[in-house]
Amino acid sequence: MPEISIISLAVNGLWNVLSPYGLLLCTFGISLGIVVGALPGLSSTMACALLVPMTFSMQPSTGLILLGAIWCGAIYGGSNAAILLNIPGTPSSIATAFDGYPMTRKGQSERALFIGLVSSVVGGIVGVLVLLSAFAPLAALSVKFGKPEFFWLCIFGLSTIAALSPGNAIKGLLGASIGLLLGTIGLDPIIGIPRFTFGTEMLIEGIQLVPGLIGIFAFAQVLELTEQKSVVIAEYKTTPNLIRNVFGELFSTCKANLLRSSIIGTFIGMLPGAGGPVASLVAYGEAKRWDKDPKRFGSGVSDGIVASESANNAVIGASLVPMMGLGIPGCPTAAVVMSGLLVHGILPGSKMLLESGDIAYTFIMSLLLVNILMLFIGYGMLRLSANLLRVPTRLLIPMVLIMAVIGSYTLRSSMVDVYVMLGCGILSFFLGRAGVGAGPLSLGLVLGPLTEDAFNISLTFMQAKNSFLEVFITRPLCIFFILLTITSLCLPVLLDRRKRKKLLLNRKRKVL
Amino acid sequence: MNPSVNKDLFAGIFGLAFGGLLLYESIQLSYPSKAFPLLISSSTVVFSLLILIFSVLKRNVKVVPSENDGILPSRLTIYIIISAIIYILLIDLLGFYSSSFFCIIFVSSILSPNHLKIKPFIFTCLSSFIFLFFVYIIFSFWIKTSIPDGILI
Repeated sequence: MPEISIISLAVNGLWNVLSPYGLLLCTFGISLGIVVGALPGLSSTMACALLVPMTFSMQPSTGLILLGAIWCGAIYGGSNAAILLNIPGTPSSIATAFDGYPMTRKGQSERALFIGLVSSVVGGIVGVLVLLSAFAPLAALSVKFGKPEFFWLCIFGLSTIAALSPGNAIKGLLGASIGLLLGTIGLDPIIGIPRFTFGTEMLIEGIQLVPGLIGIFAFAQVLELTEQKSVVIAEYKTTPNLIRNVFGELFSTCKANLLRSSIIGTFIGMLPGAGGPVASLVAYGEAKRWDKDPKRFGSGVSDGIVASESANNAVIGASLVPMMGLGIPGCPTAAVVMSGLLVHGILPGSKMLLESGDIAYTFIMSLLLVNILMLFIGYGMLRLSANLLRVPTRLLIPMVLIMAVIGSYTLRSSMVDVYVMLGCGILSFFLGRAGVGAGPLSLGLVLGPLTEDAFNISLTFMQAKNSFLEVFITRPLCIFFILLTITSLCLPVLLDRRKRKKLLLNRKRKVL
Repeated sequence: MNPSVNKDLFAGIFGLAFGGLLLYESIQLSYPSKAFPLLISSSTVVFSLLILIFSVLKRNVKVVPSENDGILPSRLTIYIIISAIIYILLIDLLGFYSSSFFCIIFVSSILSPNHLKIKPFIFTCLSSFIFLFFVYIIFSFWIKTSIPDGILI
């Protein structure tokens, strides 16, 4: 397609979004998305799925504007609960809680929320710009990413465990392996044999990700709050010069992290099946690995929130690359959006640009505008969310418990998911007391089914080709990820040694 | 004994039991179902053994004890776990909204017995009513989730 035509399509798309009706839909969608995202158990996928029927009566482009606004709002909204209550509203915000909640405990809730908002906006814009500029060539590249490559990506994701378990990497590995094993409970994905169900029918469908994560974070947090015996979670303090402070910090000291995490989110978002949770955890791990003082992560540092939030919002635009370019949705929410397109008779894929270019570019431009608008709407709702800290814990604890129950139940209208939530919560609480953190456990649960699927299919390839090396090792992208994993595992050790050597040399010089 | 040894011992023994059980179960499975679980469960056993070995090695290292050294939770936390189990079992019997209402009143009174006086009690009842009203608006009215019903609502 000629370049000039893409520019004119983009300008027309922007013009469509800037209509009063388009702006109203964006505002409504963002606000609703933030509220939905903040509630544990209600994911962006569910919010979009619920609103797809509402878009049937709308023009295709306006329906897509609404879905895009809800999606962006929900992913950002998930950070609010993660920061204020240590309960990720959506699985994409798991890593946000690692530093967001400690900031809240230090009385910096407002600052943490605003850092999350600005990072979400920047990450979102980067993802959309990539989608806008290069979705056709990138879509073709994303299909070259086979199961062996995906397997190594998952292993690279697991290499972040060391970053998630400061001081005790073996306990982190134990937590991740327990999480991975929990993910294997239920029917085997290849031949359908029940595994680890111990004769109970309840477990045949396995441990669903959302109830498992609600248990690991929300129910375990209920018990942690009980242990703390404090009247409120933390004192609510307003931050003076909030906007100037946060912008100053993000665009001076955190700019490299912001850019790197947005790129990681964009790259992972393009790969079908990975999604926001993997992107945010990998970005967090990398932010910690490349930091001059990695030990400060987990104690409430801005960089932790920046990494997680910019990566998970960058996923949105990037996951539309394979959907719009090839008709392959990059994540569950993209699949829901794709169903909305199909209902209107629009076939996503290589011909979409030629046949429905106006709708495609209106959608892309709406995502860009939504991210900008989210800065203002999110800021307006920031103090409202932060007021949650004023609720006494004696009321907050049962309320979170009820939200955890309803959030788990809503997924499949099944009490089994509620029992799973309870079991995972108790397990996570006791493992947490033994020094096995919720981060590695959740990482294992998220990556478990993805890793197993990629591993099994790669094994089948290996049997067909009768060569382990050809399938697992010598493919160019496999080599890239193997090297990346080795580097990411060895780099912290080497840097630490170098630091120690320097310290020793300095001491010797002082003595001399 | 170094207090963190207790934590390590708990993590190691739990990991060994959990990993060992699933390793045994994995061996019984047929290929390809067992490939991935076998790999992960054997890794779990190895990590648990390493934790146990390290805990034995560092048991004589002197460390200043801190508040968070214990494995067992406080009595209050155990009450909350029991309340949560009873609440979840009551949902099927009484219905979601009524059991949730009782849950808020009961749990808040366990957490803060001082609030059992009339005024705070009314405040708790009112707060739980408002909260459940919002839950109803979002889940029953808007999303139309099938909420479990019992004798009541």
